[in-house]
Amino acid sequence: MSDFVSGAAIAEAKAALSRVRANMGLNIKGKDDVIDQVLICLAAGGHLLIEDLPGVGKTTLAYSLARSMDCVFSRIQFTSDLLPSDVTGVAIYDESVREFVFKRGPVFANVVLADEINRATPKTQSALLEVMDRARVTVDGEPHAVGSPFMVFATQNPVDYEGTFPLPESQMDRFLMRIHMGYPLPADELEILRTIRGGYDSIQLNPVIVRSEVLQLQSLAAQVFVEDSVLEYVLKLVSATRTEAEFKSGISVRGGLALKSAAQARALLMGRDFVVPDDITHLVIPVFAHRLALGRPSSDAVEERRAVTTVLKRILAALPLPV
Amino acid sequence: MVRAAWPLISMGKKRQQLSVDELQQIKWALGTCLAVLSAWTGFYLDVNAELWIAAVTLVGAAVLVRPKLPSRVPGWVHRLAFPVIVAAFVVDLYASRDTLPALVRVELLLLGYRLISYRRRRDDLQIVVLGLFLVVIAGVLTVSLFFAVQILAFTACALGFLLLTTLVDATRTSEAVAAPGEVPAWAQDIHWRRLVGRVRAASDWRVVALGAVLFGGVVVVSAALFLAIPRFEVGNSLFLDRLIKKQSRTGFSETIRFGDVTSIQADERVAFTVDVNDSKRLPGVPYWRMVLLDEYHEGGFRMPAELRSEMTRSRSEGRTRASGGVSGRKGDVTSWRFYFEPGVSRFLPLAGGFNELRFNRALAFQYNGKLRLLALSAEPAELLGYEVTGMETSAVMPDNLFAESDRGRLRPSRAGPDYRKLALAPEDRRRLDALVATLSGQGGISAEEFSRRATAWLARNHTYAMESTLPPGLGDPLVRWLTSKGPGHCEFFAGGFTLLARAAGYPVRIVTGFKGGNWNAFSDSLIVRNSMAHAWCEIWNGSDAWIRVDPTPGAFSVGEPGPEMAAAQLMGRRLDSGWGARFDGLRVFWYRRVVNFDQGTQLELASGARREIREALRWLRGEVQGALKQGEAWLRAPWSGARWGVIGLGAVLAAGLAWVGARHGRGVWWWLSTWGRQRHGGDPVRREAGRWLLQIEARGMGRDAEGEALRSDLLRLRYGPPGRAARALPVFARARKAVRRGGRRTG
Repeated sequence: MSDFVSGAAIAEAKAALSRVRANMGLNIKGKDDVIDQVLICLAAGGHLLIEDLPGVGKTTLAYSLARSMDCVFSRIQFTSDLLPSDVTGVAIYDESVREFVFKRGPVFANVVLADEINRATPKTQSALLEVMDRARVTVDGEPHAVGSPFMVFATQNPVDYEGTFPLPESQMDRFLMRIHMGYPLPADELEILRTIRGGYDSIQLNPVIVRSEVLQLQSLAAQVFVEDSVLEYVLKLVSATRTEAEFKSGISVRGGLALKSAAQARALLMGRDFVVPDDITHLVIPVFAHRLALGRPSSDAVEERRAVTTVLKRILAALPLPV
Repeated sequence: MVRAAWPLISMGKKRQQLSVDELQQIKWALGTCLAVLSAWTGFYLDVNAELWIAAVTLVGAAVLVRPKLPSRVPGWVHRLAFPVIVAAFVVDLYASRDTLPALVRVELLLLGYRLISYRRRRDDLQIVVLGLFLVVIAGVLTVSLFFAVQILAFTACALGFLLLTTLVDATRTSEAVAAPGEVPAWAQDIHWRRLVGRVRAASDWRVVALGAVLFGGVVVVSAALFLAIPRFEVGNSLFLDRLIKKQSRTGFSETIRFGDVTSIQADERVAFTVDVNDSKRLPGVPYWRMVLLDEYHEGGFRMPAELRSEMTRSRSEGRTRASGGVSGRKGDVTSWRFYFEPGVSRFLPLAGGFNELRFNRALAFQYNGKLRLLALSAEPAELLGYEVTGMETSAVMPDNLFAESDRGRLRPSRAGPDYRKLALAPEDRRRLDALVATLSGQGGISAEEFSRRATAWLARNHTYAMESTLPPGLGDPLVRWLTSKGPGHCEFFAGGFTLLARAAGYPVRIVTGFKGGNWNAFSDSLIVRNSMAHAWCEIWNGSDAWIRVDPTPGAFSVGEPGPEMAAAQLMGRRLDSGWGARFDGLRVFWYRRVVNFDQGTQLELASGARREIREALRWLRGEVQGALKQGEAWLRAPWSGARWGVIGLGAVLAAGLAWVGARHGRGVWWWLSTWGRQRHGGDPVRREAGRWLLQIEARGMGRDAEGEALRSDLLRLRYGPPGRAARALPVFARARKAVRRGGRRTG
């Protein structure tokens, strides 16, 4: 019997997440591992950066999640002329009541898809900083809470960098994980080809989990037990990135906390009320890689990401697991 | 890089493992330490090899700091090394005509050469053998405490070195020795601090503890062998003692000269240690007599040539015992054991006459019963132990022979030197007589009274100082000092007193030796240091005895000190404490139990052990018989309700204990056996669970449903929330069974 989270609550949480996974799997073929990472991000209450080529199912993934949860979904297409108020909302003068009334922007939703986030100017990108961190928007000095749960799905193209504005480190640090969709396997792609083509609006999915359950999942994940030696292992990993000569700078404190939260969420997804070192090793690259940059200049962004991943794998191999 | 999974390092735990390169690096360091440690034993030997030892030490330090250095040694050095070493040995042998020193020097040369070349297995073994030769030679000769420390360090170092040599050899990569000019892979990048960290991370404290226990076992077995083997004198058997380095010590002197400015150095090294079986017999301030200086000649006191010659001639060649011939001391069984350090003198300290003297080995010595002086034919080169029983410690020393001579019944030459003789120039004698006249007044005073007046006069006119000064001028230096106000040390006061007493017509002589001693509470023994060297006088009382007179200010006494003075002296005796005293205590233990451990002590120890065992067995038999009798009496006593109640209560208690044992015994035993394993926040359950997890993963178990369930339970115990200790034991039992099953399947 656990002193922290009851076994029944864990079983319920696992069942709920399994339902969402199965529901999303109806539309996202052959990407169970990606769905798991999305669910981890959801349970940990974090935001997701999906980096991949156009047309591999990023929007469908976000929409499937929103539909499975019976949550409000919103999509913002980031362009270079997009203004911060286009994202957050704006206060306009209402003649009828003779005062300024706040008109909510598209960020007021539960699942927000920030498509091609790096196409917007830094000023507009920064409009997301507060909402990603505090789940609220401040306009004219007045705070406005966005939906709860709140999750940002941001996408960006790692290859086509023409006319883009790279996300600042502070923004990157606010994404819990960065994942890649990748192409599906031939058999899965064949099945996709067999389906009738339609926009993501035509996706018909029944909600399998309500919003209150999502909030409960997030609360449960935060209570998952992490033993001291596992925490020390996280700390060693973080320290290793800080002393690694290849990196410009190491992982922040927020990065370490993100790894812990993600590991707790993964344990919940697996039906455990405690974190094991495997949870950590599975999540180090998705949680850490986008927060790190090489110290030496790199001509190619894809090459840089690959190099960062290689160094992280080396650090993982060098550090002994807590046994 | 080859990874090694040595039991030393891993013990089945998934901890960091040392690579073969790292093992090579440790082996390199240990081999260098071993060579340097062995070379240092040469410091004990008189073989003129200080330069060689310094060179080996420097080379050792250099190759330790820069392990790439051997690669810079040109190839021709390696080609010519052995012919040159052999030639050097032959030349050395021819020049010195002494085999053993030449052998030691060539050993040092070989060790030095081994340090500047990357070693193969046979070279590593050669270092051990060469080192062992040096350590054994030096150890056998000196038998010093430092040797004990050194042999312990050497043994530990050699054990580790040989273990690493075997481990590295097991990889079959060690024979690939680097060619000249080439740096082996393991020496490419050595960072000692990092390596120490790696060793710490890779070490399992249980293996380290096991190593320590094994090492302790080696020491214990060696000690047991030492206690058990028959005693014999290796030094004498091998005629090697001439190799031992002589260390002269400052403090004690066998002659006194006053012509020069003298200063006394405070040498705090131990001169000798006295171990007395009845510490109450120890005087408040003991005076350890060693030499009598009777003859005043050209500004100095010396032992008469005849007496010196007599004390050099040995009448006791090859003997271990001597009788002191002191009457009336037969019943005194107080035993005084002296451990006399080398380099002090050939004269041995005694407080007075004695009943019996016994050395720990046969040697050449001379005892002059008339003067109570003991001397060896030559200064001992190593620590000397001897035991004296029934020793006099009185300040009054009867001398019937001198009494007969003094009364004119015996020729003076038979009674010893002329203690009244004073060879001074007339002018010096006149000045001295003038001084004496002020002291003795109209004359006719006793020797004791004269002594009191003379010492008081000396204390009034001169102060004590470690450095003495003589007033300029002509004439006898001691008379000049007496007539001045200059400071002086004990020899000046003793000499001055002697001159005054002899001028007044009293027979008097100077004694040199040691005064006092520090009591060491750790070893219950008296430690006498070189700084306690002293000179005092003995004056004839006119009838039958010599009376000790110490004219030095601060130590002033005539005859036995009064009760107040004795108490003050006893209170003032320094009590050694601190680490220095502990070390001295260790030395005394070494003397008692090792150096002075002769056959008699061995038999004494064996009979003591037998006595103790017999006593213990007798006690045990008595206890068992007593308990049986009590039980029998209890059974025979009439039965009552109360007795049935006691029986019932006992049965209930026994049943309760049996139930508790069956229910919780295993758990208690497990907790006790894992107590102290403080990793993972001091939770032994987590540690144990981690161990079993590693085992089932290493065996590829946990793939079937049963294995998966076991793995899940172990994961929960290892990483789960606390508070599941009650469930831990069954899980571990399942894991044990599963691992055994897996092992059988694999086997």
